[in-house]
Amino acid sequence: MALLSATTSGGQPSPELPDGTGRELVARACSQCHSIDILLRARLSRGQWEARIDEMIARGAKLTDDDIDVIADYLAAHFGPPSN
Amino acid sequence: MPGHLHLIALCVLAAAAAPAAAATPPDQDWAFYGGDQGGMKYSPLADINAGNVTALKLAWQWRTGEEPIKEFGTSPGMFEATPLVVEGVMYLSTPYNRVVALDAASGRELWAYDPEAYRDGQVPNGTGFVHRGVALWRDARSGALRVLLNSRYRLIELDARTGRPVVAFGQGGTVDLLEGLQWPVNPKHYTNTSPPVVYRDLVIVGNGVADKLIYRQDPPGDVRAYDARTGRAVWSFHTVPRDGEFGADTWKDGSNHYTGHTNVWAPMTLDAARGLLYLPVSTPSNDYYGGNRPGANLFADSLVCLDAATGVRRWHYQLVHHGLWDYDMPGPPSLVRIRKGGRTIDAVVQLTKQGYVFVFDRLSGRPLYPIEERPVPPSDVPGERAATTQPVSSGLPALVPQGVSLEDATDLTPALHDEAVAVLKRLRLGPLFTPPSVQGTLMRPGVEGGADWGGGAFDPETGTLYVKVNNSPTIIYPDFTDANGSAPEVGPNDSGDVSLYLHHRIPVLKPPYAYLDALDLESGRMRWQVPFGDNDAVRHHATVKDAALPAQLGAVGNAGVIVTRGGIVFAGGGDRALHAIDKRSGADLWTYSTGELRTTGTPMTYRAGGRQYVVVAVGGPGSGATLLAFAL
Repeated sequence: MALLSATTSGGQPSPELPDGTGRELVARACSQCHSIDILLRARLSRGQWEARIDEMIARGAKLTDDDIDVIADYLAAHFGPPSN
Repeated sequence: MPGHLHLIALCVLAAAAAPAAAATPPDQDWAFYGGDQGGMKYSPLADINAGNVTALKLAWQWRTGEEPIKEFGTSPGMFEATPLVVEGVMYLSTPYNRVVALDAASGRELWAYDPEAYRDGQVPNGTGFVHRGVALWRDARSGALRVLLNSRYRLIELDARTGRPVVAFGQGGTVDLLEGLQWPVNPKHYTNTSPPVVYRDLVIVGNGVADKLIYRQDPPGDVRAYDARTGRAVWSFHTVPRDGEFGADTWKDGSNHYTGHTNVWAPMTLDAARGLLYLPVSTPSNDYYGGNRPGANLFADSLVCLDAATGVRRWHYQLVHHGLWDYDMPGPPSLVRIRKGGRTIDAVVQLTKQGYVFVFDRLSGRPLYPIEERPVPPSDVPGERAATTQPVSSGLPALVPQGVSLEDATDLTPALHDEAVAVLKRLRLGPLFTPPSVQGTLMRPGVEGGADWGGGAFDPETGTLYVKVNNSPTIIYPDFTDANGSAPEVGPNDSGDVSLYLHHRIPVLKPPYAYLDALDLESGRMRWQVPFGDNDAVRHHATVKDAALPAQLGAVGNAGVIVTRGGIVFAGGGDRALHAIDKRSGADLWTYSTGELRTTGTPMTYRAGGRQYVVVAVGGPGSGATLLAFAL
């Protein structure tokens, strides 16, 4: 399973991540443990993303409540369920 | 008097004054990942003991210095290694799969070897870059000591004196582990986290496969042996049997032709005297939907005993049929000697994520405590043909609570209880082995166990097995994405929108979230069970500021423990501390706070230069990974 942790020491915005508020935070936090590819392939609602982020926090991700909102908003906006 | 004569005189005087007491006690190695090849995680050392452990101090520390690398998009994961110590030198692997040799008494770095595993980018495993240890092989012809590292898809042999590759091994010191597999494998999808096993002149390796890699012909889990001198492939055991092999008929509809995983990612153990190798085998792909692999699926979720020289199967016991829960055999099978029924028996113990403890005669595979096949709830998922019964260890207590009902909703406060009940009512609840459902099934233990890769520590003095276990659930959904074989890979599409954490951080089920168990394998009774570790995020959460919280909430973590003749169980595992626990009572004798860093490795202990050390890895993911060495 996946782990996340937000540190200020590195990580890079993956070129595949679209621009938008939260891109830097997502790139830094999510790539601590797993490749960004796993996000690119997913299509989840905001609630689903939030549930996943909660799991990551339980596994060691150091995120504030504000971080959670920013990441969930970004992921739902760019990797949400297909509109059809 | 010249200076050197002064010295001689002093030495003579010292020897005359205390001829026996002044002798430096001999070094005591920790030469194998689990202390011995059978993985008891027991040390005969007692310099540090229950009477003096409160004086234990940090003696030295060493930092990996590993950081995210922008060029490759990589980041080091948890520092989960357990070092080896032989003849005063410590050998360990780092999250980035580097091998480092340290002076065991001082922590001074002697050499480091970097396989540059990051050049292949971030590993697909959800754990990120982790590596738990290396193995050593002594060439009996030359007397040379070698270090074996399995890094992603490569097996590398190093000179233990210099850290340089041994060019006679494979191609310039490296064997390509992808050669000989039954179908082509993407190198980036093939990983290794547990150390190899060395038997005589063979090096034996399993492999890891990321759970989320779900496609037909994903990496197979074959276990392979290589000549330690040349790197030549010697034998291969097919964890998914091929047509004509024993067990192939447990893969219906030809599903053995395309099913991967079923790998041995957890450490294997060895009965070196008898030449028997024990494999903890994992769940096939995919973890939560078996509609494309009908049948019991041998040797998935099994304990398998092989002839270590030939790879020929001696016996096996499947502990989950047609796995649907990611209940991999997660930890090294512990080879122990117990007295039972008036006999002394060489046994093997398999701890499980589902919380059962299974004990077998090491030679015959005969269960030493009853195992019953009991009916389990049916699946309501279209296309799924779940097994109707599952093995239950009925003669030994389970290590953790199993199954979920509304009674398990957290009761930290009345308001949180109501919120938790509302969450639970959205999910399918039930006993252990309730299958995944489209609605979402809440299973407990979750995917991190119960027991996990830390396994158990066995005290041969008392026949007691010590196990750090998690008490946390997971929601499981079937994942249909490989149903037609056309989806090349998938992301976390199996997620629902139910969070198991109220206000992002309060687990929906009651604490404790982890235990330390002491199970008497001779009487079959639990000697003691104590909540283990704490959860700062819960303890300091605004919603519980007026609640009376238990002294220990429990810390979820997968690292294991060790036990010593000094009467101590050293344990970390998810907590931000290393603990010395009284092995008789479970009382916490000494705690060392690791600050912001979690304890992430299984500890080890050794004596070097006349002093006993206890070492544990802490920190990560990202940065901060540090090895801590304690001594009196």
